[in-house]
Amino acid sequence: MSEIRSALGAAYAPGHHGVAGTGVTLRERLDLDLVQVAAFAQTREPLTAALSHELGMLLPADGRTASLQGDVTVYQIAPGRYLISRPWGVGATLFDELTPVIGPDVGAVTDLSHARSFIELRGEAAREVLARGFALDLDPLVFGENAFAQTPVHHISTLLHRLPGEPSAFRILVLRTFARSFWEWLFETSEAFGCEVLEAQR
Amino acid sequence: MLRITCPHCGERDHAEFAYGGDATIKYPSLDNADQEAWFQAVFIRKNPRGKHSELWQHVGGCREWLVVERDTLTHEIFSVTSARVLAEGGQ
Repeated sequence: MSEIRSALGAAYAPGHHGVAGTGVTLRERLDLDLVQVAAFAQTREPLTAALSHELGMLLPADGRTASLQGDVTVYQIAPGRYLISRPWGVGATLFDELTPVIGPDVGAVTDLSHARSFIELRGEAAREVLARGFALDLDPLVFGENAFAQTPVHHISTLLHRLPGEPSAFRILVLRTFARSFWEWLFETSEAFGCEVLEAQR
Repeated sequence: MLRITCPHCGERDHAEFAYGGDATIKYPSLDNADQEAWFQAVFIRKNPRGKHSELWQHVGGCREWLVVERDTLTHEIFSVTSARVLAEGGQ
């Protein structure tokens, strides 16, 4: 496996920024593998069954809630199309594990591990920061634990996932080539609330 | 501002969608050389006042094509269905 390099470059500066206090904590995740598994029009059911069996978990039924089990996170980003992530080093890469399971007659497995940047934000101001760019109702009653949404922020496609176990923790997947631009928006918005940028998790 | 409820993603702002025109147009088959049939299919639209069946693509979300029944006068939305589901016979 080739080493994952951050797409954020010099724009990612660990430390405290902005006003006093820490409204949000930002951290890039460089420790996550990612694949897309997509069915053909007539193979959505067999693909879902094969994938569910291999991962040993139920897959999400729609595009609103992520499924988590152990280290594995699954999003259904379109009917019969799944994004799957888990930390590196759990075993084989997701691509190597799933390619033999999903034959070319059933679907396509695409390695996206270098194609997205994963950014997490936590803290009491996290929802307020997101509300300045995401045209979504992030009220916990609407956007509960493991809710996710694909939505553009200033025309940049993102996937926003509310992480479980904390009232205000989110993971954002953003296309790698747009990640630095998106990061600059997120960082500057976070500075207004006081933000702590942590060392990227490797 | 329209709010369209995508069958896959849920209710979203219409800025996430791209308009794809009249959903009722049946295009001639590709081997049909009749100029008039193509002219009618490509250019001629009814532009109704009231209920209209139209295509929208959820480009900012799941990227599925949808058939939306919308009132062109009041913007009321009556139904949103996946175009693919309709093409597959409503499965």
